[in-house]
Amino acid sequence: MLSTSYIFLAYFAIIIFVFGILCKVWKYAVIPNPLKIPLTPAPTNTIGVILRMVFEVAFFKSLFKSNKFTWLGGCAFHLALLVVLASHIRFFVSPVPEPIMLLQTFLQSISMFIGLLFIAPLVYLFIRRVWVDRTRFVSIFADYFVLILLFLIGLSGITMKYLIRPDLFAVKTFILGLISFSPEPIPTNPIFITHFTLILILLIYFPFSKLMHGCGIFFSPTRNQIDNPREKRLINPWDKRII
Amino acid sequence: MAKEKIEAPKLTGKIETPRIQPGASLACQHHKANEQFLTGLGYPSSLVENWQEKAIAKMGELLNKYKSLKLYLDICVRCGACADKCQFYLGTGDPKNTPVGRQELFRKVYRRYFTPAGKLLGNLAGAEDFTEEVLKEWYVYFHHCSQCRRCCVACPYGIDTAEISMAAREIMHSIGLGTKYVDEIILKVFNFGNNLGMQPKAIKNSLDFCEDEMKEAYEEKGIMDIDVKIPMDVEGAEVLLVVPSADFFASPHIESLLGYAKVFYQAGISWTLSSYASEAGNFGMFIGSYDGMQKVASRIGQAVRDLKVKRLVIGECGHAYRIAYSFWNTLIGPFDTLDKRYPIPQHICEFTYDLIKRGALRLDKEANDEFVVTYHDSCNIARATRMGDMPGGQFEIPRSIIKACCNKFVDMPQETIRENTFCCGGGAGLLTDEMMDIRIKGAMPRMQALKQVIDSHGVNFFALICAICKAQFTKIFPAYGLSMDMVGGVHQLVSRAIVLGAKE
Amino acid sequence: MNKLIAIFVVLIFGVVLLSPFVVNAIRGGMSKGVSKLDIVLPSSGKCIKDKEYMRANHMDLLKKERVKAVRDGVRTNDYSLKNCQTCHQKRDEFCDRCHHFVGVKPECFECHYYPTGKKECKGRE
Repeated sequence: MLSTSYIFLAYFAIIIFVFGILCKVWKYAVIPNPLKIPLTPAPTNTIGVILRMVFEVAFFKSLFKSNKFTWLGGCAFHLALLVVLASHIRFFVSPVPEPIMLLQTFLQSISMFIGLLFIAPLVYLFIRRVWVDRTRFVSIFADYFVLILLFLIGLSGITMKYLIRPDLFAVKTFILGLISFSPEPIPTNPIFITHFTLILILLIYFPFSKLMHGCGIFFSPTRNQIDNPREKRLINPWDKRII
Repeated sequence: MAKEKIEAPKLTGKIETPRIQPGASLACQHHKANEQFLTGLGYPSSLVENWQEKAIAKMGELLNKYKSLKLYLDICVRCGACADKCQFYLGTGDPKNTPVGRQELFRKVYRRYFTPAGKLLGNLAGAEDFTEEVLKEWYVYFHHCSQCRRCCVACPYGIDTAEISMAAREIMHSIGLGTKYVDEIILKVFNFGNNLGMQPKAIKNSLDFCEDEMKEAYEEKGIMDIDVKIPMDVEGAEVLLVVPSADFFASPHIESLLGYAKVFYQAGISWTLSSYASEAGNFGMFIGSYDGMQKVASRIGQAVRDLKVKRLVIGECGHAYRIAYSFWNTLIGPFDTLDKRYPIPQHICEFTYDLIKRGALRLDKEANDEFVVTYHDSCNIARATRMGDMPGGQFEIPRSIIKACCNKFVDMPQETIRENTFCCGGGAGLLTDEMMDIRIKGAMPRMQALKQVIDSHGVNFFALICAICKAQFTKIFPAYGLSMDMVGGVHQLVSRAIVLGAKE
Repeated sequence: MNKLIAIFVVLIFGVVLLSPFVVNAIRGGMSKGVSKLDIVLPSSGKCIKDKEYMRANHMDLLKKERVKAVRDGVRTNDYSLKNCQTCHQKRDEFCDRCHHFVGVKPECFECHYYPTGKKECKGRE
């Protein structure tokens, strides 16, 4: 009964997550830019724009320039998120490829550090949000909700690593069962079930929330446009002179 | 009408982030546009009966027209990196004058009507009904934004509050709510071709007066053979120069006009102004109206065709150059009749700089020796345009011109210039007397930065290339106890330094 | 034109998002029936704790044993590798198979051999 409902819920969450994001991405891609609005000084060619985006996406360059404290918290968390996601790859492929095994071996040796790197910035960002009067003023419930949700996901993950260990064999079997459409029963470890439930909530919530910044940043016209309005005419598809 | 004198912040040379004071600038608001102006622009004559419904429909329409709007409403994480970057927050401390606070006014309505979370959970999801209360705040705070893009530099996702405030203003117009100042001006352009509503005759008179002035000035120096002309409506001229109409008579704007004329004179390039397209500025952008902006801009396209010119040059004006540089090609392009060897359109500074580089101008730096000059990067030029071929030319070229004209030049602190420049506090429709409170407070960061170089280097000339900045600062400087004579255009310096006549 | 680009972009995002499914389908991971733990078990006897407990927590027992031996100098054989080996005779048929499957590297063997030699598996009562 528990397994059945979780399997059902998991597929539901995945469908919402994937199609929710794809719908949003479709919108972001298809809604036109009627005018050129790159934030200058901007690159004058495509390679320059790609470089600009890489620096923004990988190193949060603008945030670094504008607020070092937020940058520190944001960077630490996103780095930890990336590492944690990478260390979860092993649950999704069988057999585990050699490079991922090597990575895993390394991450295993610093796992305590990674766990802290994941939840400490969340606490820090939470405190900062409440501490700074102007961010407290503009914060809405959703801002705190996401921080708490991610914190609990991290905490349950760490708990599984150090306190209440699940049967990893059962965990992996369950996950492989899900992604190959031949469901297996869910492991009974209560912490795993908590962890998994929180992640499903995150997946369902993702496409409707500010978390879409992860996809949206690639579409930001002030960042991804080439500074060449004089050289190359941008056509506005809804300009009355064209229609 | 604020009768009591507005107290300007103390000049200390330091820009401090204030603690929040909710509602601090709520009282400072524009006079509303009346029936005449609104209907003149094709909007409802006053707030319509079912305004809420109409506004939401308009919002839906804009969400499908502007990628920037839809995206920026979705992806803000309220990290607050922008909050202490806005000069209006720094000046007033009103948290709704932070970029993110301002956007949230829009975003909460967007959430309520366009997102599943907002529809289902309401307040819990940060959504709010579009009530009269909210509309009031919209009217105040979206007109406190000067669309300067300083927040966009700070934002990790490049969210541009200007895009959102433009959309908000367009929505408000669609339900019959606009500001008198901006709408009146746009209507003047529709009717007369310039923001001031000057008739061609009046412009001509002013230009004749300028010619006489220059001639007299040279004759006083004993130079009799120099007669600089400011031609208007000359068909077949090489260059059409479009300047902000303030350049025709306002001070110190007019000094730059003399500068342009002398540069053209010395370069020996035939040029003309147009009485039909007698305005570079385009307030259509301020209210987010694509059609309005296009209608205003179309006069320039018409003048280019009518006067059969080969080149198009823009005078010293900030938002005008943004529209010219970034939008004209889309709005009124392509410019098939113009000479492709030159940028279309070209900024007057690019034009002058080109001549300086080629050695075509003789500049006597000593003529400006009484000045210690600093340069204020105007927001639209700094963050929405480029001059020359290299990114950042918009910073280097005006500075190069100033350095070619003056011996003493000093920059204000790095975090207040170039792409981090502060807005003058008067952009995007704030340049009206009833907004004096926010104008003075919004200028605070710039004034503090200036104060630093006044104290350290004795700066006494504040060079600009924006008509709005010039008008704003000449008004604001006295409030801060500085002389308005410090304010002037870059081409004012050129005008003083340039040596006319045949080369030796 | 705009639509074409949009389709392309959505495809990229789709592939990334669905990559676990795609990769798994290509590699055919599941069809081999992973649900059966592919290890060689002794034909008789009983482990020191029940199966569920051992699967999740065997590493803690071994670690406890190690700490006791190294820090306190108390050597018992209760939870030692040696004791494991009395029943689970070959490392590659027992430890490694499961460890490979879940992608965890056993840290024991960075220092220790897995003991060898035939022993009689008694199990525990």
